[in-house]
Amino acid sequence: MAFYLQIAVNGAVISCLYVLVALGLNLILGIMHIVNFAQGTIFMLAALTLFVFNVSLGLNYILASLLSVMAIAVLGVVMERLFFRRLRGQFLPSLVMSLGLLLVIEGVAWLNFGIVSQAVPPVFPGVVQFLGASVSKERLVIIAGGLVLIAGLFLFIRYTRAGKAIRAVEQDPEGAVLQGIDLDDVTRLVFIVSFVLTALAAVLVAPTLALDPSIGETPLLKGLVIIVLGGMGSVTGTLLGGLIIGFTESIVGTFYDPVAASLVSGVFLMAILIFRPSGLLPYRM
Amino acid sequence: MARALPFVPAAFLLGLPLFTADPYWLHVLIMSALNVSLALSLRVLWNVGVLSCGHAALMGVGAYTSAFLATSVGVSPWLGALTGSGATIAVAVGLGYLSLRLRGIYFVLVTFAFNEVFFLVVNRWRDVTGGPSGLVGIPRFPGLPPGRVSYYYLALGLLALTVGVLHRIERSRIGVIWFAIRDSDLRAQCVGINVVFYRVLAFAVSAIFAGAWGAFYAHYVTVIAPSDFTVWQSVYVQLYMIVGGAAAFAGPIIGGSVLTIATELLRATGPLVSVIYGALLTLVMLFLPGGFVSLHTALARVRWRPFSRSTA
Repeated sequence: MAFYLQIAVNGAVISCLYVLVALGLNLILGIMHIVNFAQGTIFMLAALTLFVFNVSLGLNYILASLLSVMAIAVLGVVMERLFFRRLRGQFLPSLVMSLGLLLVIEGVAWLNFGIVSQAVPPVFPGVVQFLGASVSKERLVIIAGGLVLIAGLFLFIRYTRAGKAIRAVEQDPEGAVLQGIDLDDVTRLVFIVSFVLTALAAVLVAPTLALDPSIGETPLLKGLVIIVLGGMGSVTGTLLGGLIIGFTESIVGTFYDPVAASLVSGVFLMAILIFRPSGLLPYRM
Repeated sequence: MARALPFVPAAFLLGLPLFTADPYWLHVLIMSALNVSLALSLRVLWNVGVLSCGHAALMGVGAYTSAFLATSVGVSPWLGALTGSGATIAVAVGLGYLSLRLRGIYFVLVTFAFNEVFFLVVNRWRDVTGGPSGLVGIPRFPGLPPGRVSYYYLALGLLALTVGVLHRIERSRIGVIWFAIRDSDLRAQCVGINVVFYRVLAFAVSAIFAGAWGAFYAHYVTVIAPSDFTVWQSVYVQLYMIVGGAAAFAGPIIGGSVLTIATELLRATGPLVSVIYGALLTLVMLFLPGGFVSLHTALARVRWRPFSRSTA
């Protein structure tokens, strides 16, 4: 029992992380029709700035996280204005450009951060005994934080005026413009929300990771798998896809090994694309 | 005059070893030939309107097949290279038949996943692929004179074959059908073209060259590992094609050779090379979306305002 609980907690932690990154990717995909391959480097930048504020400058974790997330939000505005807005809706050029940005950001991080892995000290040390299993508090905080963020995004998209504008642009950009919605404002907002979500995911899980400039690659790849699995542009689909990938990874990773887990999710992805390309829960207007 | 133009660089490349036998630069040129050919063969798929993220995996199928046959079975590398290309076609036809009904992002992601699965499979299937450390001691092509110059000429010959065949196909009836499908697959279907068949054909043609060059690569460097065939390698091949300019046949040739040589020149700078590379890509996409080959038309545009506000 304890063993299975452990697997479930691991699955939930992985799912939360991947779902947050995938939601960020999916927002940009839905509004701009752009697959942002640089999203993983945003994750990495947030974790590394957290490290700089928290460890190098000695600020406390909460303050360092806030500063880091704010820095990433500003970066989102800048990147949207300088790069992505110009290639809105142009699928391949923007994809290639985001690969270029990925190379630049990761290269700069390697130049400045070095190749030695660093760690942010744990914020919530200790374990909780639950049904005979010992679960670290850190992981429970990640799950709780992840759930709050996912719910927050859902409520934001569903019930606020800005969220309504985002959905309007997603459904029909021209129609939205005719209603007086400023497209540039919406894309800026989407980049801020998407980058902030990714940054929050990063600062949440950073204390459990060995930090180096390549840590963004896995969340990016898994995020892509999840949005395809769940259906592009679909929030509930992303949740379902994230749970499937997270728990597959946890279960197969425990009983076999992590490589087998990635293999299973890769085969899963190909099968979904070939036999049901719209995803498990396709987005409907 | 214009027809004679390709012979100038060809004569230069043929005569080059007479002037320099520096193995390092010969290696750079061999890798350029490899990258140019990969980018050109990827462009075959581009011509039917799809982008593949799995080109490195196809190259890997050819490389691993030939290398496995040579090291474990003792088949001659020449025969192995042929078998490797054949195996690559089989994989491409199988994958293409299943997935080439998809377009755009979906096909990009299927091939992306295919490349990941290939990478993970060769990592785990230790008996055949040697696992993460790869296959070592792959024999060189027998019958070639020792030294790098012979490989240089082999690469040139293979490059000439790749360029010749692909150029010929593109100007043939098949090429016209491919462009028709790219422009509108619905319209192509309406005039009686079997769209999926011609897409799979393009994938197969693309795969032959990826597989053959993969086998060449295996018997040239004599050590292959899964890290040679990651999805990022596929992405680099796309970059050669797109930065050079995918609309023109010359695009991948220019992109592949310029970027390979530039990468070598910048190698000493370490991670800075990826920064420069990435910045170049970003700038090309923003300001020169047609790639290097469109440079003259871009410069000729009079009212070119790169910082104008976008209108959506």
